[in-house]
Amino acid sequence: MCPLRPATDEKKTDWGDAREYPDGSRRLVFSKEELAGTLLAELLKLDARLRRWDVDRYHAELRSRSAEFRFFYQLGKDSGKLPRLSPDLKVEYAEWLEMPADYIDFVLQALASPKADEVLTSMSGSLEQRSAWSRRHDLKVMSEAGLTLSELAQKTLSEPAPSTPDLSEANEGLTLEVSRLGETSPIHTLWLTEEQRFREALK
Amino acid sequence: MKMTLLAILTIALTAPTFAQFTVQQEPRPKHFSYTPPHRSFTCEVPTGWQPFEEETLQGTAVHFLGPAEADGAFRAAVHVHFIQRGRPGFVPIDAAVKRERRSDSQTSRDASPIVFWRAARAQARRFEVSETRQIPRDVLPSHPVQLHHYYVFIPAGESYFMIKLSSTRDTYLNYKPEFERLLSTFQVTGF
Repeated sequence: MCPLRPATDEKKTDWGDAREYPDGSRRLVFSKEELAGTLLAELLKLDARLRRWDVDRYHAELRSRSAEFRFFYQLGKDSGKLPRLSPDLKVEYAEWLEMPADYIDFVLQALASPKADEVLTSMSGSLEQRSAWSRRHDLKVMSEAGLTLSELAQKTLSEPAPSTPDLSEANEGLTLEVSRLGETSPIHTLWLTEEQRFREALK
Repeated sequence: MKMTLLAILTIALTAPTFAQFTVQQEPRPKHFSYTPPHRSFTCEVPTGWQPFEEETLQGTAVHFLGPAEADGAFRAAVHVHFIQRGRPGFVPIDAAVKRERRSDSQTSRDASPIVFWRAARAQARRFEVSETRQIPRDVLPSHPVQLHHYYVFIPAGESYFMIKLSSTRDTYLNYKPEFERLLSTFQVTGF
């Protein structure tokens, strides 16, 4: 493997700070604080998987992300300045801190989409339909970014979006998923307890 | 042989027509009446929007998940949050409305003026917010998508309901009639 030559420049972009390299590539740079926070969130997700708590993906995500945000909050309090975060993470952090109801709504709507395929997957159809949604989305983003698409890819984009699956009570998989989501899981209780403790201390 | 065929034909033509059994499927209702397990409200929701209840930091919430949008990277939804006084992080209704309407240059968040309006026998406050977010969240490739939220705040004693329709800006008008119906049928039944 060819060693990476030192960066020639560092610039601010819409996505965050990016370093430019002699080969013309640009790579995003994440602050140490953001990397540490991400590691914490990933470790908590792994912990949830080991304990089989990740059956409730939605609350497992809320719990790990909240821990990451509490870490940023404490870091900011200790150092007297907000940690350097990439733009989308910074927006989520502010929403979590100031508008927690909006934050959980946004996470749920994103996780329940066919692209993320994490919550109520039966709402997004069969595995084939979900991969069709995902392929379609990625091609659209690439097309909007100005990349030239192959004929096959263009054909995929011109086709209608995958049809809506049966969302009635006859869809047993969906009914089961909805009822499971309504049950309080161990990770849901844990997330609530940790968050309540943090908000109490904020008063 | 000829006679037999003629007889069969005559019987077939003169026989009384049997009742025709056409299975007429009842048209699926477009809405269903919904009451959460904690029975704090009732409302009519579009059929196919999946309800899901949970206890939240500030009280309880019911999420009605609707159609996929933004090329499958997002899902439209109506959220009904019951924000209970005394819960950790409780913010009174006036401060909550002010906070939700605050502009943010990072997300181009912008709010419409407040409209006072009668809902569930109370004076509700209603406004619209648009913002740009990176969608899908946490997955690449992603791109900025304009989102639209209809907010309705309904007081319930010192607590309140926050009802919100969240979707992409491209599609929000498609759901507006359904949301209006949900609001017109929304009744506070206990808190």
